[in-house]
Amino acid sequence: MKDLPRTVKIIKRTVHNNDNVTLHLDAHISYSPGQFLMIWLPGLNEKPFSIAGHDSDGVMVTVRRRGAFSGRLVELKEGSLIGIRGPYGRPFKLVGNCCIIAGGIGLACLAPVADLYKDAPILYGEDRASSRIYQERFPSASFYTTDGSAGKKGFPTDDLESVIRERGCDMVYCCGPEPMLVKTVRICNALGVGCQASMERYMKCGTGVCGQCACGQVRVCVEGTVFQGNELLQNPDFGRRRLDASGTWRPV
Amino acid sequence: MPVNPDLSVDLFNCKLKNPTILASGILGTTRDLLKTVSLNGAGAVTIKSISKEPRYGHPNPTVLSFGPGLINAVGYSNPGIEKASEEFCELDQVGCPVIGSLIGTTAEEFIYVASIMDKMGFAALEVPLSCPHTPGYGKMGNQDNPEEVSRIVTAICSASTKPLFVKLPPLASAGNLIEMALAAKESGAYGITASNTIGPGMLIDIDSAKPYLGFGIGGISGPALKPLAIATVFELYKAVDMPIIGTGGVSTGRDAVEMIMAGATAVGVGTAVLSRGMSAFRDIADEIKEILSLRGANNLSEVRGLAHR
Ligand SMILES: Cc1cc2nc3c(=O)[nH]c(=O)nc-3n(C[C@H](O)[C@H](O)[C@H](O)COP(=O)(O)OP(=O)(O)OC[C@H]3O[C@@H](n4cnc5c(N)ncnc54)[C@H](O)[C@@H]3O)c2cc1C
Ligand SMILES: Cc1cc2nc3c(=O)[nH]c(=O)nc-3n(C[C@H](O)[C@H](O)[C@H](O)COP(=O)(O)O)c2cc1C
Ligand code: FES
Repeated sequence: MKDLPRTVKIIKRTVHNNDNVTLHLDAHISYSPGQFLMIWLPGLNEKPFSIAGHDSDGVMVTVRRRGAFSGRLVELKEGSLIGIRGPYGRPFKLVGNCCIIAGGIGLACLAPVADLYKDAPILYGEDRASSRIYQERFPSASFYTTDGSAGKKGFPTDDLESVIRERGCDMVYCCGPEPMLVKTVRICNALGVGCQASMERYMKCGTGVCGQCACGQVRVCVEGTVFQGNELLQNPDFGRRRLDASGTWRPV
Repeated sequence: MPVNPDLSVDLFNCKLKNPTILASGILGTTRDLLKTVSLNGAGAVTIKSISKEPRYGHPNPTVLSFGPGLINAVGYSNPGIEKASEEFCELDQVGCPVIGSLIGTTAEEFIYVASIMDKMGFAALEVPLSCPHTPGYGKMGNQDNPEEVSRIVTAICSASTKPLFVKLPPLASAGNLIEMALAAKESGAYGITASNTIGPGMLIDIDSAKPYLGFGIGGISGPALKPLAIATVFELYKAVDMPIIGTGGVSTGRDAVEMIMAGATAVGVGTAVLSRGMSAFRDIADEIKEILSLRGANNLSEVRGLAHR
């Protein structure tokens, strides 16, 4: 039951652009696609990050600069030490004939699934071209931007139905902003196609104790982060509200 | 030999179906999570402590498992009583009695929160005066002495007629435990919850040479706390005639029966949610039943306080 952060070294950084960096960690972790780590910067904070894949050196996480914590993480140099605990969360159930749909940094969570099913179509959207990650890792991904600065102008959900119909997918894997999850789950439901979506909620313990990640009657850190589409459609908080760090409801 | 011992407990004008009560600060952030705990067999549930104004708590890490238990410094994050009164409405839906936990730093704050909680659907109130890691509250607010206990209990009882439990620290960290319990009783409290976490405690990461917890110090719960909590309940049972919610390291039916033999009326369950999962409540209750059955006991009264005889 001992589960304290353990120190690992950042052995390599892949800089995707100004705001997105993949940190390769000197840590061999047995994980399943969809699981996350709690990353600790001593004296600052500790927050959840998806395991974005692994190679022979260890696992990696991809960090997008947002506030103080992620801002510090993306600036860390090779050789820096960070604390990690995990992996946590219920992972994706793996089904081969699938389609992957990602919004923003949500692609990091889905990348291990994409590594596994190399011929699965990837629909990936960003607000603007300059935020794009994994261009070399997944060169055949269909790319969308909200502002039309690269790829197709619009959202990846615009083409989801036609891709499902063309390919006859059995499962759609989804991670991204919640409005996109809602859209995806609804499309899959209407078409009678399986769907699994990974959700975000504010997390403190990551292990099912503190109640901060409550969503309806479940804890996102333990019963999620991956849920089946039909579970989400029945969850009264899905697409509606989340607790902030104080436990106050905020709209998603 | 009785085959089906009765696990029910009469407490604060309610009949609990079994003696397990969700401890405050574990999962009690929303009504829907309380429902889940109730569906998993809890006899009653306690909400996470609520203050007058919202609090964001300490930076993460706030809760860590170190082996023999948890060390936590959540720092009483909560949405404040106004939002909490919206969240914890229609409590009948929860499916078991709900205890409202309140915190404050001044008599005015306690009165403010208690008068709102008095109108909510709580079966009882609980006030922790023993938190070891939050400035202004409990130990770090100098609330763990008989004078403050009197003042705070008097204030709350002036604003609410609900049965009030005062949550005290373990005996090992409170030389004046019995005086505090007596002060609580004289000032109108109904029962004692014993105990809170013990602390302050600290664990240091030797690589960074920094404490693991965001706040540095925290309170210890779980198996590491159990012997200290049992001794606390044992001493309180001898000295004060009040119902006791025995809390600290209860993770099996055996632990619960130990607590009840020490004198507890019911048992708080917190950290066991991590070690045994959500089903901890039903599992513990089933194990208590089995133990009673093997002992030939018909109900919990037959074992309550047995360690004193
Ligand atoms: C399961 C999960 C996986 C995640 N995976 C990744 C990932 O792979 N890459 C990545 O860049 N980010 C990921 N995040 C988001 C990450 O945890 C941080 O929330 C984000 O980096 C912003 O933190 P900040 O302190 O920099 O910014 P802030 O300005 O402090 O926060 C910005 C917003 O992020 C959210 N947030 C902040 N703290 C937390 C927290 N402790 N838990 C959940 N949400 C929080 C809140 O909505 C907040 O409004 C993930 C979040 C979750 C819940
Ligand atoms: C993460 C965590 C948060 C807690 N928050 C509170 C709280 O808000 N109010 C309170 O009275 N006690 C709080 N406690 C103390 C518990 O209610 C309980 O007294 C203590 O954990 C001992 O019980 P246990 O060993 O079963 O966990 C908290 C404990 C933990 C582990
Ligand atoms: S983050 Fe604490 S219960 Fe999920």
